[in-house]
Amino acid sequence: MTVVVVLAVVTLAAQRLLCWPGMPPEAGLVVLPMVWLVVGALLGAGRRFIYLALTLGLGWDLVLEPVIGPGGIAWSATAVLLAALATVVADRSSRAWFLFGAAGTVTLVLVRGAALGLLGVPVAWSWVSLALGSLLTGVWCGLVGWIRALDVPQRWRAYRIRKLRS
Amino acid sequence: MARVRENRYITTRLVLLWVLLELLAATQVRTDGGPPVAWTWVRSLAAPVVGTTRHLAGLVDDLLVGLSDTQHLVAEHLRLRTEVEELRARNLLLEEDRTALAEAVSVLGGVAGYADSAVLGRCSYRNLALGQMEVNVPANAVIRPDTPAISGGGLVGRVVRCAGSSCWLQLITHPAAAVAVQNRSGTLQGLATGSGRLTLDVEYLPHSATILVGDVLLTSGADGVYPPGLPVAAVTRIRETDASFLEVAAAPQVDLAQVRVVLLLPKWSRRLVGGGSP
Repeated sequence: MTVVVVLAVVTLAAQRLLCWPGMPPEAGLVVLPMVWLVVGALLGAGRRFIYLALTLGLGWDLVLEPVIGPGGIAWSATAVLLAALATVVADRSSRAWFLFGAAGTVTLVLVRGAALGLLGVPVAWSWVSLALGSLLTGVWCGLVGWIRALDVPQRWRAYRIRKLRS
Repeated sequence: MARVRENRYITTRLVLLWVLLELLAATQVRTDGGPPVAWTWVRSLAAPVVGTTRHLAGLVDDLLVGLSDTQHLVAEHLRLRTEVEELRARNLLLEEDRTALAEAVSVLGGVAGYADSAVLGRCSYRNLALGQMEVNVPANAVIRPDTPAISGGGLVGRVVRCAGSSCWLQLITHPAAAVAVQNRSGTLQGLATGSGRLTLDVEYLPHSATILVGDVLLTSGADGVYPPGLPVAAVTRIRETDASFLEVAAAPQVDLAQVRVVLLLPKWSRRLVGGGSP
């Protein structure tokens, strides 16, 4: 659990680094912590991960937003959607990771916009940035899913065994 | 079943958490540098309550004012009604006074020469059984005893005592009252005395006198108290007896029970002192 928390904090810090001055403007469109929601949904972390997502959203607000609250709503709502989606989608391939990441990003952006809109805060977004953001985040999640599917430790062990035999 | 219940539980808790988070965010966001959005929401929610409360307070206030006004109106209505009743009563009294004055003026017309010196007296007390009447006259009027008093129809009596603006009259029906009378042609002289009732006894009329029931007797002036020519009484009964004179009864021309205003003729006394007659 501690590892997960540390990794989540690391992704939040990395997200902040992506928006660092000098970085490409499109870099900020990637939602790195989205991978944790995809992990929770596709690997069956249970319903408790919704609350973890809410905590993650509050952390997002704390690190990346001027207002605390909407992030928690958006992240937990995205977690609910992905959890529901995971119950009807049997695929767990990297393609599914990509699609879950993209769908989660779209949901996150829209819910966050609605939550801020209720407060009367103008939200700067466009269909292009939404599409680009969901695409990049989907790629990021798909990449993680592909790496996970590679099962690197198993391959490493096999490689070592082969080398010892030769 | 348990799974559905758990789902509901989680959903409800999540929605409540979302609401709390939105409220938390609303406390941080300020629109146009004004108060936080949460305060705006609270104000928007409270506005109908405050407005309704204000309207209710206004309504209650208006109601109280209306009730107060109604009370005032009712009191004013009662006061005006009382005033109207009082004015009606006063109007009736004034109407009666006017009628009496009109009668007095008509009487004065019959005794021309006294009208300008006559003093108006208002009856404040009468006792027909005792033959007394009290009248109020102007305070500056000088009324001496034996001043004749007349009213609509004829002679009422004479003044016996004056104190300030109050004058006491002896009515012609008083047992001690006596008026020298004559018939219209002046051929018959007599003395009308009070009987203590509402009639007069006419004395000293000889058996040969030409007199009928209904004849009106006037003052002759022979008593030195009343000016001549004033109607005194009308003959109501004539009887011939063994006495030297006729027994004649007469009723006063004036309805003494209804008299409200009398005219006093103070100048008559002076004329009498001067030896003149109208």
